[in-house]
Amino acid sequence: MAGEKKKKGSGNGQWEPKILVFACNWCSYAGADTAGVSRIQYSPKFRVIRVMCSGRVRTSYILKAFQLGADGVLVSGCHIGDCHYIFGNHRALEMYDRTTKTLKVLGFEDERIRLEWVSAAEGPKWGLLIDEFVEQITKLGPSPINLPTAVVEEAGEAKSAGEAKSAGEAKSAETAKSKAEKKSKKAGKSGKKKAKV
Amino acid sequence: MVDINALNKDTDVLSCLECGKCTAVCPVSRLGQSFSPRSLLSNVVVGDYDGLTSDKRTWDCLTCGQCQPRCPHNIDFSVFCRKVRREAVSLGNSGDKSHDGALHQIMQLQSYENLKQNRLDWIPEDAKVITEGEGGVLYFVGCLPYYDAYFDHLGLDSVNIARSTVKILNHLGIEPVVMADERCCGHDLIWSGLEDDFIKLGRHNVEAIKKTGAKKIVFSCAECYRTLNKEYAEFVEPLGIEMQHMAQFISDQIAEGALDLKGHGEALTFHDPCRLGRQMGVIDEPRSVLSTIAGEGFVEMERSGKNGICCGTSSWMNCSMTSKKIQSARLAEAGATGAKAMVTACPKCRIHFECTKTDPTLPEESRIEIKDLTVVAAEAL
Repeated sequence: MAGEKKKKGSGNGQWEPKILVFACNWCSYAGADTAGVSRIQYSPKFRVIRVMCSGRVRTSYILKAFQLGADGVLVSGCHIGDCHYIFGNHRALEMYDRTTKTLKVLGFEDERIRLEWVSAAEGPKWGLLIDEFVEQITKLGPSPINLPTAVVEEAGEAKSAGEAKSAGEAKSAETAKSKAEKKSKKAGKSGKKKAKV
Repeated sequence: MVDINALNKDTDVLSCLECGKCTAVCPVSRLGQSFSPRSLLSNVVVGDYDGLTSDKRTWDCLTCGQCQPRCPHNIDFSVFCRKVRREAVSLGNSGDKSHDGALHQIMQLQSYENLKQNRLDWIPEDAKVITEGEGGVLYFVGCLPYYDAYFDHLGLDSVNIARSTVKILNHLGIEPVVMADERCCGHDLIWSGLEDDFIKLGRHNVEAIKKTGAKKIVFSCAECYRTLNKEYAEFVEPLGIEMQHMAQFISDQIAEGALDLKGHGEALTFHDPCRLGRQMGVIDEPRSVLSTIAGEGFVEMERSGKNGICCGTSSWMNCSMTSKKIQSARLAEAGATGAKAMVTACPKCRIHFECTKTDPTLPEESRIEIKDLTVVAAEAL
């Protein structure tokens, strides 16, 4: 994926967030296509999973993403009233409500997940949304749990995970905030580089 | 592959006589699903156990333990299933988890050391609770805040169980310790074959409990009570601390004359959670509490005490039509007693019954109110 290649290429030892995006087949994924076709420049630091409907995304998918080391999860679907399956995005709303409540008890920040509606025509909105979300997660820093080593090895990214881990420990310290800010500034710079879709 | 000798050593499966008493009493077999403990074991006895780990049937068992007391050889079929499930998981067959495994993930996420949960939001302002530091009595809350978050649509207010427990303890002048860093007891993980994650949770909890210096632990959940008593001793380490379910605690306090509950005489019935009644032998205590409150109004259901039927789902596994049938049958039984509410002592039994009550085809007389024992007791203070 574009994001991953970029990351390996950059390789300057800086923590980068792992962001998972669920995009529905009919609107948001097509919206991402529009963004690509329109050559809109936006952050490449995310991974997309295409689902047939935002209503297909379950709380367990999001929890599993966090368990496997994601730092942020974005769910995107058709606007209310535009769902290809009539009421799928209403299900997504219910799921999102349940998930935010559950993650709150688990001690995850509210900003780690987000639900947005992006139509097939809203390419620029998609670009802005991704930029905004990447910045939001970069500011927050690594997710409250350590990355499980097994998954890290699987992805062949043991090095970057080690850094994320140490960043996670640092987060609990007082200096966390200033560090995160520094990081977000850096990431902000590199994030403005070219994006491939 | 399953190590049949090790299994036999723990559960005595090879001495199965194929008498079929297990299947005769099994609530899953009774309601039509093609599940039979007897046929599963008879395969094992004749040496045909290669397919055991990929057999879906080992996941159908509710682990309620109805069969074990009836078995002439006292074969622990629930533990047999648990051990086979563990093997199955290690081979990549993990059974069908309800809610797409979300609840298992909540538990697994809790096994990460770095986590800082917000699990104390339920504590009311006027409650006296020690959240940091040491104290004599520890209240192990369990997953109540998670259930309220995840099952928001059922309107459970599960944390009311926790509030009621603290209210009763405060009423007796006890200031309980409630751990901010408590983790799930791991009951569902061990029963769905995820032993490693269970042990992680167990180690964390044992350490945290030791730090509080508690001399006694009270529970409002039947599963936590069993797990800390039995499974922690087996897989983690014995805690060596006195443990009581709130049913026992309240009943003891009434007997000592320390607690005076006001009776209201409204009819109540009691649903025995498998983990508390049959498996931990706490049968008389909840009844003595309810008799104090309801007086003559306390009525028994047909299947109660040691014969109490399971609530139909266990460890968030395999919720199916059979589960729903078991639950509707139980609700009908409770409704037939004419009681105003069915009281139980396990938050999960309550969730499962409340879920069944959302079925629009359920007859009106089965829509009985489901209450927790601790809440009923706190209301009678």
